[in-house]
Amino acid sequence: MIPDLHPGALLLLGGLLVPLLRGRLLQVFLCVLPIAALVNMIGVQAGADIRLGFMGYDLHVVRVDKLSLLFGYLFHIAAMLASIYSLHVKDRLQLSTGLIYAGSAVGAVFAGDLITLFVFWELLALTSVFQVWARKSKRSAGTGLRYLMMHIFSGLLLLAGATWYFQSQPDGSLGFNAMTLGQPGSLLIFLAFGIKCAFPFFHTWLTDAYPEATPTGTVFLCSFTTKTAVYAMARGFPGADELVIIGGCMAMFPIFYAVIENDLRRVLGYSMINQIGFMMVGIGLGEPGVGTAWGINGAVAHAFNDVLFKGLLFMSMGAVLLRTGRINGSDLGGLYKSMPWTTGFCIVGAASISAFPAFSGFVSKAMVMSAAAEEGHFVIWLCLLFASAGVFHHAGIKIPFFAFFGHDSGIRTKEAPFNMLVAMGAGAFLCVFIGCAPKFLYDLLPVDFGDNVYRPYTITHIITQTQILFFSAAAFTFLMLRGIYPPELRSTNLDFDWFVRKGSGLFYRCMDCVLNGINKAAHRACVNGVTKGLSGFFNDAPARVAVFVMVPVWASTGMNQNLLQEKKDALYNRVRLGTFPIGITALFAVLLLALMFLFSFRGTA
Amino acid sequence: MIDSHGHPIVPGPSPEEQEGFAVLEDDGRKRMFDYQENVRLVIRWFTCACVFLALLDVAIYLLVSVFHVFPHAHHSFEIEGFPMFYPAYGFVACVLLVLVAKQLRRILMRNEDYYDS
Repeated sequence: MIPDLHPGALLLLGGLLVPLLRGRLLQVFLCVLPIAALVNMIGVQAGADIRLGFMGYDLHVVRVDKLSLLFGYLFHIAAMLASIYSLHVKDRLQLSTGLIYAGSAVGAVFAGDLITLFVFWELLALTSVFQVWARKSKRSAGTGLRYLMMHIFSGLLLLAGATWYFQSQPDGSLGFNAMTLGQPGSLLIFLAFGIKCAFPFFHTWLTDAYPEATPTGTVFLCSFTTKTAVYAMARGFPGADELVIIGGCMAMFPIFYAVIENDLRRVLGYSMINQIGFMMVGIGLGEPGVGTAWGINGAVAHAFNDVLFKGLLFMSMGAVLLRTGRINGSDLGGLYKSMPWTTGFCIVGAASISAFPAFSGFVSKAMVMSAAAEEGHFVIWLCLLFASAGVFHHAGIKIPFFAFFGHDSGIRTKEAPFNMLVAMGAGAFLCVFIGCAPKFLYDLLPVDFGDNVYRPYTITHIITQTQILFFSAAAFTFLMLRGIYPPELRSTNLDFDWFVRKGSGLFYRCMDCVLNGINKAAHRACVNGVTKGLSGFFNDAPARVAVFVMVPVWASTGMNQNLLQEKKDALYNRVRLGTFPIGITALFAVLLLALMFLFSFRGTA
Repeated sequence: MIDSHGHPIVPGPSPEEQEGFAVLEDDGRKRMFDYQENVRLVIRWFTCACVFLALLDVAIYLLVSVFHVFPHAHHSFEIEGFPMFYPAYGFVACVLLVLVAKQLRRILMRNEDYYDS
């Protein structure tokens, strides 16, 4: 069926309507809108498309296939959970931009050409930054600006890449399909996607912005931006070998940061990079038509699950921040007494991200690892195994332990608001549901499994996964009891954003030194040196010449020294100021006339 | 207050002014983990589970590789077939992770307001 409406249209337009509503009406609207949008999208079938002519180009505004549909469903579910979670929020700018942000993510995953993708790509950046700025603190203002700069940069790279890629296409097609990395255009596009995927060195926007957003803002942020980028990578560069190595690095390095980080939402930010690492490995292994379909399918399934369990974890931490005003591990502890439901939901999220059997991570993370093993990537497989043990350690244990258990901070507060509990409950239900009945998710996956259907629930997989998780927990318990585990400390840990945040100051001072130095030197040389010299020269050169000519004449008349000096001074001043007695002026005039007469005479002769 | 560019700083809401903030008095009731014996009980059960899993792994290894009771289990890499591979890897990986991260703190850790000052 051909869609009557763009799948993202309802969210985009609905977001614009939010500022006009208030009170109960706004809350009903927030509940109904994502459902209406989902109903609108369900009518759309794979194979349908909308094309538009724009300035002579054929734009493929909506292209529907299994990959885009899966992300479409995911974003609608995420928008639903995030809006319910935000029902208590009064700041309508934040709610409005949040919904438009969700709508742009939907638009981006249905974009069939690079220009449409670019438009939604930039809209994602522009609308998402308000979730950070809505915190209305000095820190969030700076963070938002850095976040926006990074994402605008990604958008510009995408535009430049798309233009270059378009020029190199023999059929002049703008279509957004699988590309190879062999040419500059696709390389720029790859980098643009990579920035939004939080590639190493470009990842700091994520760990910078997510902890600075509002409690509800982070729930919006964690669902759409990176997952749109994962979608784009899966669409554009399946089977790119580089992704396997990049993904391996992304799965490894953030877990070290996560262990020493104090801000629990920043811990989740690092853990998100680690999870995207798994997805990148899966995409890198998913060369179309080669081997099993586990690579791409695993990556996409894990992206689906990640939105749910990471959303759930960010929701539980948002509830803690809302109720206590604190989010540092060093300030929290013992909250299970005041917030038992939030604690329970957080544990479900933690179990899902750690891939416990019967929870959602179990059915998707292992698919990527099996793909790596099947294709013989031993080192990557070891890295991913290390990362799965590590993720349990920092996201599975550290988050619930330091927030809800551990040392009792003495903080007593209320349970999270009802709307937040409903959203967390729905998220937790989905995590367990997908974990127990993975078939519903597997049926939506983009690549047909063929003969190699992935079976997560084998005895070997259940036992080995349980073993690795229990012994990671044993390591945590051992280190805790022996007092080796590093305590939570109020601190900032340096990351690559040092180069932007401190490096920019250094750059500023260097530029100040060099450019202002050049300016000063030029001022000295030109204004004080050359100009002054020239003006002096033109000021008294004729006078000096006159004196130079007259002194020998006067000296030859035997004039005494005093008189000579007097006449010299008088002549110098007269010539410099141009004041001569009438007689001399008349003499010069006569001389001039005589010269003119002579020359005119010569001219006629 | 004025920032470094001469613009006035609009202070954000402090946590206490934020809507939804709630701090209550302690009601003095003791909860589950206020009793040390409960904590000990959890640790004891957990230790038993770990020992059970380790023994299970050894049992499976003996059944599969020595007595050939089950047809050879599918392993992509040989290392997976070693007894206690997964438990040992999980434990060692996490201990290493924490020890390395602890050393990283020496290089990376700065004051909380490092970027603000």
